[in-house]
Amino acid sequence: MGAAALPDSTLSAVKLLQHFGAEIIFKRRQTCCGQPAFNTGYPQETKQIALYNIALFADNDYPIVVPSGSCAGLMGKEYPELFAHDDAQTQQMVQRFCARILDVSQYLTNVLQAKLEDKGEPLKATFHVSCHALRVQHCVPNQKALLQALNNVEYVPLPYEEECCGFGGTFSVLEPEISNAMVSEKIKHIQETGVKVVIAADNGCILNISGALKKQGIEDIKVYALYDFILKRIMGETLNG
Amino acid sequence: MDKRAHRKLVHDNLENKQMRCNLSAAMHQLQQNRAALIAKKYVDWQGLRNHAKAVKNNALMDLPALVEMFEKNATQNGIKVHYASSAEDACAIVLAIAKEHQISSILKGKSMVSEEIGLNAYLQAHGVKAEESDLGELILQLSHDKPMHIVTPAVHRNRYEVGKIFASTLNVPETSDIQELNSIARTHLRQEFAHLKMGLSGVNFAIAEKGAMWLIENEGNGRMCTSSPDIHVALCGIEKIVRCFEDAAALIHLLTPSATGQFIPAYNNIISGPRREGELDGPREVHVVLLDHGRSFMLQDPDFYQALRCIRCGACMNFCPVFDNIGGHSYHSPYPGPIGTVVSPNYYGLKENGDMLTFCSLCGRCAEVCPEKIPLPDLIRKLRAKLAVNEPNLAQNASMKAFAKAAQSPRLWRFGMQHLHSFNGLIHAAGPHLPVLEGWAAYKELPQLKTDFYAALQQIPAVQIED
Amino acid sequence: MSEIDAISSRSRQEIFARLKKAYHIPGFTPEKLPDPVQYIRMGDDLLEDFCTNAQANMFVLHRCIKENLTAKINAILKEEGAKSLLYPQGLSLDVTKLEVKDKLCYDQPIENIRAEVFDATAGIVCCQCAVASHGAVLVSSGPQQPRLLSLAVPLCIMLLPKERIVKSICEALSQVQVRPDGKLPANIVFISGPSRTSDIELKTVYGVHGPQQVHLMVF
Repeated sequence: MGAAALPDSTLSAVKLLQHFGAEIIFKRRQTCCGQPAFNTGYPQETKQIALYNIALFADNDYPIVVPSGSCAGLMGKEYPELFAHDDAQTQQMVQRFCARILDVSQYLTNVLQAKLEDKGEPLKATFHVSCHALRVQHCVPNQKALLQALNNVEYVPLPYEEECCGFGGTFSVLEPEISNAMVSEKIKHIQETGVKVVIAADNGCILNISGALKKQGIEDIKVYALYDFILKRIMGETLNG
Repeated sequence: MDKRAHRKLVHDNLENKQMRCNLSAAMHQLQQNRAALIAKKYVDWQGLRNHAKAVKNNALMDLPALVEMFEKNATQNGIKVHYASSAEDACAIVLAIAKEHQISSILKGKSMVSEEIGLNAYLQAHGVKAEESDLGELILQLSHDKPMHIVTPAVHRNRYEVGKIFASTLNVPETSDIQELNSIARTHLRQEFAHLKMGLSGVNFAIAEKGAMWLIENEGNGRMCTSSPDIHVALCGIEKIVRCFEDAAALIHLLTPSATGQFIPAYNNIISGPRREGELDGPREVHVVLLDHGRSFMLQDPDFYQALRCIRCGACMNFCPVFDNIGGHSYHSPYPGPIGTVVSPNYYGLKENGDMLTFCSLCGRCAEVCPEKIPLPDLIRKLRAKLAVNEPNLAQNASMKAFAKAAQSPRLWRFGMQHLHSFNGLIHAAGPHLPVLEGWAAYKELPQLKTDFYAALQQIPAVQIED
Repeated sequence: MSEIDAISSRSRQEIFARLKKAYHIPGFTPEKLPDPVQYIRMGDDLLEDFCTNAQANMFVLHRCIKENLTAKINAILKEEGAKSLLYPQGLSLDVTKLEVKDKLCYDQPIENIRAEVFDATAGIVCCQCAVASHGAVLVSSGPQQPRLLSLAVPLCIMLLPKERIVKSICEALSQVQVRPDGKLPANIVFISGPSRTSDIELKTVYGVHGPQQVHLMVF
C-alpha cells in the first residue's frame, strides 16, 4: 500500500539495495501485509492474507526485504502470534517465512554493510522514530546508523522521539481528533529542534506528519522518506519538495 | 457508549487546555522519574520484570487453591473473609457491615476497587457517608470530580484550582501554597481519624500462605484507616492473591518505581488480623471482601488472563500518548489508559465500554514499560476482534472482508493501485477508510497519490519481476 | 443466616465454579524464584547501603553510640520544640532523663487515651530490623509497640541497633518473630521516612497524616 501513496520511497529502497550489491527479485503478485485488518481486529482475514504471502514467497528461500518497519514487524514478528493456536506444521511454515523478513535498513547495514558516501550539501536533520520499527521490528538503530553515516548531515535528536505521531493506521481515521492532537504535539517537538528537515522511514508516519504540517500551513519544515533522502545524498542529487 | 457521546466526550476533553497542560507536564515528569530511578538503582530491570511476571503467573495458574488457602489462613488469623461475585454484592456486604454496627460514616483509604464497584454512590444512596482520606481523592470528592489516573487521581488539577476547591468547600482562606494545602487537608481529617469507627481500604497483595494483606501508601491515611478505627474493611480483587511474602516483596521491588519513580513507598503496611490480646490499638474487627466482578471470566481466557497480572502501577497510562492527550475521563471508567482499555470491557461489558478500544494507536509503548509484561496492544487488538463479532459494525466488517479479498487477489490489488486517480480509488482498495475519510481531511492534507509505481519499477535495470 | 453470609456463600459458590474452568498455560510449571534483592544495585557494606538509602527516603539519620542516645534525643526534642512525648512500655532508655514537658507512656488501650495520643508532638519507636537494599525499617505491632505510636505523632524518633540491619525485604520478613500462638504480629510495617504526598502537581510535601519528621538513631 505504501507503494501507492509514496512510491518513490520504495523505488529508492530498491535502488539503494542494488547500489550496494543486492540482486532484487520483485514478486509482481505481492499485495499487502494485512496490517489494516490485523490492527482493526480481524485476525481471520489477516491470517488469510498471511497465508497468501507465505505461499507467494515459498518458491525460494531468499531473504524478504521490506521497506517499512511496520510491515516488516507484522510479517516477521507478529504473524506467528496469529497462528499461535494452529497445528505445529503450520506454525513451522510460518516461522520459516518470518525468519526471512528483514527491514531494508537491516539488510543495508547488517548484510550489505553499506558504506555511504555523502555527496550532499551540509544540512541539519532530525529523525522521526516509527513505533513499529522501534518496538516490533527493532530496526531503529539500523535506520539511525544509516542517517548518521552521512558525513554532511548533522543529526539533531528529536525530543520525545519515542512518542507516537498519531498515525496508527485505522486509528488516524477512527479517532481523527485524537490523532490530530498527537501529531500536533509531534510538530511542536520538531519545531523545538529548529531543524527544517525531518527524516522518517515509515510511509504512514510520513503521510501523517506531512499532511498535518500542510494543513497547519507550516511550510518551512519538510518530511523526507529515509531511503529517498539517502539515495539523493549519495547520488549528489538535490532534495525536492 | 454510543458513537456520538464518545466523540463529544473526546472533543470536550481535548478542548480542556488546562487539563491537557497539567496532565502532559505530569506524565512527562513521571516518565523521567521512572527512567532515572531504573538507571540509578537497578542492575537488571528486565530480569526483575521477568521475575514479577513469573510471580503473578505462578499465582494465577494456581488461583483456586490460593484463594482457598488465603481464606483458611486469614480466617485462622481472625479476619472475616467474604466473597462478592458482583460489584453489587461487594457494595451490599460493606453496607451490611456498617449497618450491623450502626455506623453512618466511614473513612476511606485509596481503593480502586471501591471506584470500580461504585461504592461511594451506593453507600450514600443507603444513608452511609463515605469520606475520602487520600489527598487526591479528597480533592476530587470535594469538587464532585472523578479520578483522572489510577495512581495520581487529581493530577489534572493544579495548585490554584485546589486552593479554590478547598476555599469554597472547607471554609478556609484561599491559598496556592502546596504545603499549606496539605496542612488544610491534614487538619480537616485529623479529628475524623481520631474518632473513626469504620475504615475502608484497598489491598495491593493478599498473601495466601500467611492470610495477610499488604497495602502500600505514602500519606499515612491508609494506616489511619486500617489501625485507628474499630472496624477495618478491605476490598480485594481475587487476582491480588499471591502465594508468599517473597512474591509480594518482589512486586514491591517494581511497583512504585514503575508508577512514579519512587524507590519504595513510605509505608508497606502488612495486616494479618485484628487487635490481638494485650495489644493497645488496632481494629477489633478486620473484614476482607474478595471481589470477582469479571475476573474469573478473564482467567478462563487464554489471552485475557494476562491482564490479571496487573499490579495497578499506572505506568501504561503514564507512557500512553493517547491518554496523555485525552485524559482519563474520556475512558468513562475508573480504569483508563491501556490497562483500562483491556479490563473495563471485561468488567463492564463491550456494550458499555467497547467504544474505548479505538483509544489506541498500537504504538506499543505501554507493553514496553509494563512491569508485568502484559501484552496490552495485543490484548486491545483481540478485544477489537471480539467487538467486531459481538457488537458488529456492518460497514467495517464488509470493508475489511473486501480489503482481505483484494489483498489476496493480485489482479484486483494492482488494478486498485493503478487507478488511484482520486483518493476514492484507494478507498475502494482499502475499504475501511470510507466512512471516516472526512476525519483525516479535517486535520491533514490528503497525499498526492501517484499511480506509476509498477511502471517506474520496470524502468529500474536488473530488477527481476516475477509472478 | 445473616445477609452478609447469604451473599458471601452464594458468591463463593459462583466464583469457585468459574475458577474451576480457569485457563491453564500448556505445560506450565511454577518457577522457583530467587530473592528479588539481586536486581538492586548495592555496595558491599550493609550499614553504608542502609544509611544512603534511608537518607534518600528522607529519614533524618543520626549515627551514634548507645551511651549518647539520650543526649542526642534530647537535642532533637529541644531543637524541634517538642512539648509532649509518647513512648512505649519497656523502652530501654531511662525515660526520666528525657527532657520534655509532658511524657506519656502508651500503656493503655487507645480508647482510654485517644486524645492524648493524637495530641502528642513526639514519639519514640523501636525498630525490629532494617533493610539495607531499600533504606526501610520494620516495626511489628505488639503490646509494647502500638500501631499509632509511629503514625499519630508529627515528630517520630526511631531507634535502630545497627546489627539489626539485614540485606533485603525478604530477609527482614523472615526475621519477624512468630508469636507463641503461631501467628504473625497483627501488623507489620516497613517505614521509609516521613509521611508524604505528591498529589498536587507531583510536588512532594512531607507530613500528611503521619509524621512530618522521622529521626532515625542508628547505634
